Amino acid sequence: MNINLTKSGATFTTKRKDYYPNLVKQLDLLYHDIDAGKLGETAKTSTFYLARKAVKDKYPSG
Amino acid sequence: MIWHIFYNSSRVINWSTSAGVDDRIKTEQAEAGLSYVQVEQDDLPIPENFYVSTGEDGITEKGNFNPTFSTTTPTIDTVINVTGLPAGTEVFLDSVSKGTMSDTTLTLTTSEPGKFDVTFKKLEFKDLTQRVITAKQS
Repeated sequence: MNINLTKSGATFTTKRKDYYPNLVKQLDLLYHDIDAGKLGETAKTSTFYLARKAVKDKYPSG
Repeated sequence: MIWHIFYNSSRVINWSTSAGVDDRIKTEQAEAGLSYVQVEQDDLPIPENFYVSTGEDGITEKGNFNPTFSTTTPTIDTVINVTGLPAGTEVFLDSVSKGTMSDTTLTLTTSEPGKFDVTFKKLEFKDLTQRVITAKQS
């Protein structure tokens, strides 16, 4: 016997909401895209990038 | 303590009392489709914990389900294998019955994100609910 785990009444909005990575992960993805130059070099002067980079520089990963 | 127990054709206890029960009550309940059995025990014979025995001459304490899930935090498009369930178990998804297992094989396929409550019910067992949470995109 197989059961498909689906929600009755689920909309594309609720499905997307439940499946998106958490916001910290999404912001990290955005940071790394900026860092890689995918959004242009000027994006590296944005307050978002600089604020996040400051934290990363202060607490570098091992 | 003497318990007077009324139960349905599936041997599920409908109600019980330790107070006196006369023939008029038994007749009324029989007309409502409920059978009668008398037992002596200390524990309250609630339907969550007891069912009427096969011979309908007493009640039996329910056992516990002990299923094993291959995972309860799957990613999308995963097939979860559930083992250890007896045939005849009725499976509910978020309180809606999805059918009764004809054998001991149960799989759950995740096609949507979310939290899902999977409940198992069978006369001889206490109800059991397991939450399955689909992992977010990594």
